[in-house]
Amino acid sequence: VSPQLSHYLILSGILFLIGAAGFLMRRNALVALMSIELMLNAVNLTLVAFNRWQPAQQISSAATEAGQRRLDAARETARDEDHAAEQVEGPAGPDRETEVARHHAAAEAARAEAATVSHETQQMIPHHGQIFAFFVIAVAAAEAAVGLAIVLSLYRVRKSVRTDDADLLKG
Amino acid sequence: MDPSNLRPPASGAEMAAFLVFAAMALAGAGATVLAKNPIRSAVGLFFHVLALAGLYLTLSAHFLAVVQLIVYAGAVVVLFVFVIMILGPGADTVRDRRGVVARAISLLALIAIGAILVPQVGYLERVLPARPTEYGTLWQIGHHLFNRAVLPFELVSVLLVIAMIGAMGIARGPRKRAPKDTAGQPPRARGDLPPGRLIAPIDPRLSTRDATVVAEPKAEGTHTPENHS
Repeated sequence: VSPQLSHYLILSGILFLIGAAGFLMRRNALVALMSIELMLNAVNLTLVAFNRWQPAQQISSAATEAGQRRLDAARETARDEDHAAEQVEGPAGPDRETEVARHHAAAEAARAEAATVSHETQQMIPHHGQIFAFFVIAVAAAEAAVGLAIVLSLYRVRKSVRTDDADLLKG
Repeated sequence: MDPSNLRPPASGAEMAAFLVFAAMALAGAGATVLAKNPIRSAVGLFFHVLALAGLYLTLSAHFLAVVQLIVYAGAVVVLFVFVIMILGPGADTVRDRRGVVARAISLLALIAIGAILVPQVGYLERVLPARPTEYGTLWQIGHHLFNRAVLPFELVSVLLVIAMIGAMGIARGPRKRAPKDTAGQPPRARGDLPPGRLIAPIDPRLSTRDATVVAEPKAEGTHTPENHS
């Protein structure tokens, strides 16, 4: 047996609820911030899990690492062979013609290989969910930095990190 | 499709890894919320973050697992620990029974939401697609990030710079203006604050006390406008 999508969703639902409960129940501002991190992490887990269960699509082989390597190698070979065809030395004659023709043929073969790679397709799961989770992590880091700065500044005014004591705007 | 492009069928090891990391994530989250001491909460958050990195690995998100470790375990949790250490005993809050009704109601509401939500997602069944070899690799993430998500990526860098400047500005507090009557004296060094206080107060009462401390040298006979009047 391997874990199913529902396992991950149930787990992240419970984690989110634990985080929400911590945010609502605890009155230590530091623990409240940590609870927000718990909730963000739970959401990230759903994003990554849904991404894994997203159906694969046909994409161009050039959009994969292996395909890109083949494409680069083929293009480089074509360039080198073209260059070599221009640089063939020796007296003019049938020998030289054959050598030039051989380089041109190799360059053509490499170009054909490059065209094949860019027309090939292959199965790939898109990475939207993981990219989204990546951005969520970045925003969560920014949020933690600013939130902790606010807690420090609250402590300086009130000598306490209780959320009840943050009532400076109370009329 | 090339069959070598697919991974071998899943074994029981995956389920075991999932269960271990899930238990660790739940325990870490519980410790974060329930611990009395904030430093224990931070340790709970640390274990929660480690477990989530493991869960990302079971989902073939290698890059995200590493990012999770670097950003959360390496930066966010350490930042929390730093702040708890700076505040010292002030990071603790006494527990009292204020607002106990409101908190009980919110807990009940959350339990109700969970009772509705969790069984609903539990019924969701999908066939696990075969994993392409390059799924979740650094190359694929980078390709996606810089081909389809360049603008959000750049915006995130702007956001991080703004957050950094804002955090520094907020945490530093209002700048202390030097009193005019000490103009003739050498400026006080930054580390020359009165003992027993690491953070400059902005509470008005505390500021008044601080002003008397600053004004002490002028009683030693320096000529200032206040002395003449």
